[in-house]
Amino acid sequence: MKRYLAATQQSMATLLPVVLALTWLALGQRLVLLPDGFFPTVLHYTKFVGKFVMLNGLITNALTMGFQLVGVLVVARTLMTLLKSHLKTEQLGVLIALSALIVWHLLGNPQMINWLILPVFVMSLVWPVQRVRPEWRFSMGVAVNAIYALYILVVQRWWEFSLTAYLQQVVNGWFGDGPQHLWSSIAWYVMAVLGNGLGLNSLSSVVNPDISTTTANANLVAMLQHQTLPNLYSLYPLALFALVGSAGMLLALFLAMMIRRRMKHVSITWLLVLIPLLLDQWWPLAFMIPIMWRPRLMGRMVAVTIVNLLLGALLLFRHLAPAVYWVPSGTPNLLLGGLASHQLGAYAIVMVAILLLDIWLYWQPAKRILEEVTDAQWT
Amino acid sequence: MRNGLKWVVTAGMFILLVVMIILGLRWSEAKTSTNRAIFNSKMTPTILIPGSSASQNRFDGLVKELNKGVNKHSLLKVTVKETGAMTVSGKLRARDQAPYMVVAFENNHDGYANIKKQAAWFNKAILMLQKRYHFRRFQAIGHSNGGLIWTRYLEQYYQAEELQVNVLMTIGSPYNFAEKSINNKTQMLADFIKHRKALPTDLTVYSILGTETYDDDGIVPEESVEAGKYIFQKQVAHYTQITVTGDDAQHSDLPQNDQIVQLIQQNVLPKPMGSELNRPKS
Repeated sequence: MKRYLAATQQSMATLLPVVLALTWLALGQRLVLLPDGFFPTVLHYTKFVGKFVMLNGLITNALTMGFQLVGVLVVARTLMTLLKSHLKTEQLGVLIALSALIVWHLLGNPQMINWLILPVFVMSLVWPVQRVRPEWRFSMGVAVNAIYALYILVVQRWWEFSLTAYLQQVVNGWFGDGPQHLWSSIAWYVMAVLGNGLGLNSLSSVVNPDISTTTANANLVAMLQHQTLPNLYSLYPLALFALVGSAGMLLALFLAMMIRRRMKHVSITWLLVLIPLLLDQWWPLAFMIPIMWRPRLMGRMVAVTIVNLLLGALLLFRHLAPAVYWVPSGTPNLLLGGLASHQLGAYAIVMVAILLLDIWLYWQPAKRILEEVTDAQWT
Repeated sequence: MRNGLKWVVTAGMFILLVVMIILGLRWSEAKTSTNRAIFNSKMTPTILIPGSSASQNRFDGLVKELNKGVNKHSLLKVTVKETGAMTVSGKLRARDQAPYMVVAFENNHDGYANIKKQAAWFNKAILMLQKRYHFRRFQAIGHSNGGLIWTRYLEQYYQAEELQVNVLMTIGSPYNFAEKSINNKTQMLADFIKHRKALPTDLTVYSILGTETYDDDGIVPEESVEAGKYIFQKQVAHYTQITVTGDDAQHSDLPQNDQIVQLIQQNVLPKPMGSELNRPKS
């Protein structure tokens, strides 16, 4: 499995420019163009951007197809690398074309793309192909694709069942009103870390702090009515301790890497990855640096998350005003605490301290990852 | 050159964050300040939507009946024009915490396409009323298509974090239009059932069915009113269907029916302050 994961990650790195372009487009839309985006909301031009329904639809379609295409290209390139010595050129071409078609249908919309599908697909195709006699390899490859095609036809088209959507539903069912206690909040954030680490994307209700969840709303109502907060340790007030740069405090991991490389060795690509990460868009990071499917790193991410949440809970218990108020949609988690508590100064100090602590905790993993990846990939 | 570009990008990033902090904080503080007044408001208006072809005066008779006795409340009337512009008439008496607010539409025609438009207009109207009169909790009454507009509004526009509806009473609302068989679901009923999960789970719904004959109220078939159970049952906290017969049980007379006036007083209107039954939900 390791071999397939590594090959997939290498292919992903080659597609970083495409992912960056798509992420920046998504960010632009989310901040400036969507009627409930950050700037339309705070500058009160939601009615004006409401006129650009067509443009927003076009961008959303472009993003959907763009990320699906990225998935397809990753698989195509990985298959090319792993099978070029096992199949004739024309056979490889046909097999890649077939696989591209299958992967296109397996991947859903960008909100629900599970990157884990890519190495799983690659492994399920390459492993049997490499194990049969040379004259059967092409047929085996076609047969594996045929099984996937049958799955798409029967399960996805006929039964109209989507495994990703089902997973999302199951998670949302468990989530319910949202966790109310510290231990359950920690459990959810740990699950989000594992989800990110595995390339699963089924925990959107956890990684996107939402004031409309029952627990967050109950806090808001209590705060506005000058009552005691019923859910102090629920997800919304704790988000800034776990989600800066997305689940696992990925911003701190990336900053650790940047500091290790020293600023003068950091190319413009690093900055183009850093900015989306400040706004909690972590896919460019996952394409640039192999952070997915690494159990040791996932373990460190879990540890960082738990340490942060315990510290956060202590601060909320003793000193900090909790983050309970509304923030415009698209507010990065880095700013969530200050904006949602109206205590900018206190949260700025806390955020810097937490990031410094996390950079320290990520110092060794950052070193290991940097040693593995060649500079050529980032320039 | 490359170094210069790096500094430009870095500076751009800091400027973006600073701008987001300033604008975000200003927005959040303003929204909190407005909502603090709303969330602490003791006002719980009863908002009424008339059916098709009815004007803002449709509930004058009902309000007159309800205002008999000691509990007199103001009546505000809003008409939403097709452009989205609104006219408000009536006056809110000082310290009146349970006024009646009627929202009617210039385009008051029947049909699903119009109900969708009316629900969107109603959303604008209720937000305007909330901004002007600072309330969060309210009770809802809809006569005929008014009940359908409420259902569409609650499924598509209602934001539980900003508003809280405790009770909805629909009077003679044809959830399946003129269809007598539940097997022939209209597009509207199918849509209502499809989006029922968006209905607030803490809502109490009363659906009043009038019967002039044994199978309708002169206009709306019994089965069409009863179809409401497929939308509300097992989704909202309580769903009760009540059948009203006898005098004034004809579709248009229902809002003035004595029994319905009593049901509204008992089940919809907020109880006077100090009453044991007046326990606001948090």
